[in-house]
Amino acid sequence: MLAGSVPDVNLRAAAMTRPVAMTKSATWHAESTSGALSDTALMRAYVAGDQDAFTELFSRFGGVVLGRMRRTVGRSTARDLTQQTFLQFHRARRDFHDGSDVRPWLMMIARNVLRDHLRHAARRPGGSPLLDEPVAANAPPDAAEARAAVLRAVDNLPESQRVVVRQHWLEHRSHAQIARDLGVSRGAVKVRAHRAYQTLRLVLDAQGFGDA
Amino acid sequence: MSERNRELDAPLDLLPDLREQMAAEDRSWRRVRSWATPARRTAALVLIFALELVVLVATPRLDLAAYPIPRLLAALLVLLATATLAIRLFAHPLHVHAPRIARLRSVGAILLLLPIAFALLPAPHHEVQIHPESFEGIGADFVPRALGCLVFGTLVAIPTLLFLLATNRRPYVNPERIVLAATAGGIAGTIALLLHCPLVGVAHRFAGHGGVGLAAVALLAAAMYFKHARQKISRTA
Repeated sequence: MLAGSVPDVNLRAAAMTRPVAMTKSATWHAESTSGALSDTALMRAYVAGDQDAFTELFSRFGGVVLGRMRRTVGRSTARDLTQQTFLQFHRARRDFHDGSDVRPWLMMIARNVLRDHLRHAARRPGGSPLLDEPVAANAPPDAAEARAAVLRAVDNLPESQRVVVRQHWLEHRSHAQIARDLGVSRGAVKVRAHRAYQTLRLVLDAQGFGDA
Repeated sequence: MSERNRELDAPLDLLPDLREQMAAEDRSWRRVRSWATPARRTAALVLIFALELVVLVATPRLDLAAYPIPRLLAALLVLLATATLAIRLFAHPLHVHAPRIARLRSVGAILLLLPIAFALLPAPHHEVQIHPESFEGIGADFVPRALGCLVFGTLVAIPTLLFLLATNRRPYVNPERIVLAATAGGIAGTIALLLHCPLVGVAHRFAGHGGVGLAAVALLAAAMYFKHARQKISRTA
């Protein structure tokens, strides 16, 4: 959804029927009824504690931030950095000056998140800090190619499996930790991991990286 | 048109996880990261002031009456100003241009060298008759007294250092910013020693007071090294 567009009708209806939200963000809801929602009014409501306002801001700007990230990094990392940007947005919400434009403010956060990421990646030669593992200096020449193929294959996994593989395999987190974070059982995490590895094996075999 | 070049839809599937992270953060001590930037900076400074006040009230230096007031005030002013600068750079908001790495490095270096420079200044007084305690810490007593001051200063540095790290919002803390946090803590420790330790010998001040910032950096580096080592061991186990 583009910036400044009308929000999701269900979201607005849900927000307007919720008395607690009404008290928290009277300005937003007053403007909702007239259909003229400004980013600043949403931001004001969000800073006042209205989580629906955050959802609306995310739906307005999430695509813009993701698009910015995609111009520089891969799909999976771009999604991670988009999430990181909105987490920073949440942390920085009280720094927002009432009346300022939300979009440039958010895009500067996105830019700094991306810059931090690239700087961090540059300090770990051959690897992205969120996803990739560095290739050893003495690795055979085709190791980098195999690694790239593996990462591409991981990128193309379904979201639920990709998260598990990335956290368990690349970030070395235990199944129990991942289960706790995702709010699912350990067994469910193991099943996702098993399915993911089956898919990866098939994909990589087909590409001639059977031993990767 | 490729995904890289078109306007993308908002990745709404990220929202549940994001909301969960936000809620978890708001429920824990990590909510300090969501304080407004001026509040984070002020809180760090208030913490330093509070620590120094406790030191001044609980264990004031015995020769305070003999210490030249202008020199004491000038030292406090310069040290607090540099600590404020370090805090300002460390608790930098993410919605404005980040300070250049070269600037972070220069300020970090200044903060490390400043206590050493102060330690190399001549003794503030020579009243050996009135304050004989100011001229101890030499000979066999040198190492234990210097080490005592180094430990005391580092202990005072730790709360400031931890608070600054707790307020950090960025996902990756680069080494320059870590050094800044450690040296800001080191300055707090140096001020505490200025208000507490009566020894005026240059050698004692150099060994015991000058290296508090370095000790704080070393402590933090060691803590990070052990953290990484532990993670590595748990991965291989």
